[in-house]
Amino acid sequence: MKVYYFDLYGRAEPIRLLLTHAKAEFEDVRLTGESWQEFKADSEKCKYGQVPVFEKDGKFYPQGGAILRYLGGVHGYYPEDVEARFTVDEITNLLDSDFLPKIGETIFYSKSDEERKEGFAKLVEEHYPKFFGFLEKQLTSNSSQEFMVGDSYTIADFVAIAAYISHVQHPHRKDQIEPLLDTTPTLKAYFDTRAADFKDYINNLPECSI
Amino acid sequence: MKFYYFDVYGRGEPVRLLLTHAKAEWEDVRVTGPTWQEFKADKDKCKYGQIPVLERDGKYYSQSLAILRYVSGLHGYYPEDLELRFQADELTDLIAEDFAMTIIKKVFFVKDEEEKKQEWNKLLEEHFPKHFGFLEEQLKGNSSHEFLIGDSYTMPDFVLLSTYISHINHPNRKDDLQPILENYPLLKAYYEARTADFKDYLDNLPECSG
Repeated sequence: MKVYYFDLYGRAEPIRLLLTHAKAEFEDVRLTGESWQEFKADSEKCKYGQVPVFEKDGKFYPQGGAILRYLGGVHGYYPEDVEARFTVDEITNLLDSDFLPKIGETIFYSKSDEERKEGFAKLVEEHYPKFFGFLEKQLTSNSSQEFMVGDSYTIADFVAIAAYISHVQHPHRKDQIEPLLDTTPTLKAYFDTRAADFKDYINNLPECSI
Repeated sequence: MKFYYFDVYGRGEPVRLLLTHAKAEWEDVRVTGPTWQEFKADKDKCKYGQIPVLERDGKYYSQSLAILRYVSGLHGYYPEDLELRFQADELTDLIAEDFAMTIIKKVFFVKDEEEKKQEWNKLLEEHFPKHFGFLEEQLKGNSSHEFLIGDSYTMPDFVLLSTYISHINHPNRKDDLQPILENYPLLKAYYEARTADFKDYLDNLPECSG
């Protein structure tokens, strides 16, 4: 099994976290420069010209969200019950489509350091607190405060922990973001507990910009 | 069941098409102006301050793709088999996010008329042919050319059909897009066959900008 992505956390980190938790052996392939151009040009491996791509038994699976749900199904992290599954999808999409892209855009597409700094300051003031509030609400209304949905890991947890790695605990951002968690104590405790399960993995994380 | 969305096709049309095909009992609630402000302010109904929202048995469901997957699961349009389900997720994300949302972000959200026109022309040259090509390949490789996966409706068929309504057959866009579609005969035939199933629905479609 292989996971192909850039040398970033980004859209691959939830997949890497899931496979790590499932104790599934996989090769973490980080594509850069030439190796990326080569991979991108191979329409059998890289159907839509994008990564992440997951490879298993000679088959190549594109589209990060679809990969995550597939592996969630294989390893028991995606509920069969339609109501529980809805909540997993709701939180996963909330993070993937609404929370993360705005942060990524500010970091990657700001036209100057000044613009990036200003943009990020606005996120710290409005965007982060809003979404921390949503997650706090989900945790407090859930049967367990230790997981996003139900009382065990689902794909929603892997997306949340990846967001923690990229945007909360990240050396470039933690000084601004960690204090915000004081107003969402359940979420703070959640991140601490879940990150403890990945202590070795997090200690050995390569340093990436996002 | 009630489905709350703006008076546009946008992120709501796939769910409307699915519920119509399933012959489900539902109310198509179009939220505008003051009714939108009122709905948005109700945290029980409108959890994240966004629509679409589905109401079923007194519960409110948010996040458009989570809702789509939910109603797909309820009505038998979400495959049980993990490999087929992967394809359903892969194609749904490809069409809803990579294909459709890009058009909305690059054109509809742009205010400057000159820039809007330039972006649209770029999409005609690259984006539409690229994605029509992906879909042509999918249909070609599928057991039936009449559906995206297998030989009956699944979740991504409703997303693809909504692109017919929003773009291929839209009065403001059909003259630009139908000539491009000529190069993708399977996709063209697919649209013709699938829209024939929705003749009454399409005849009674309200006119929307997108």
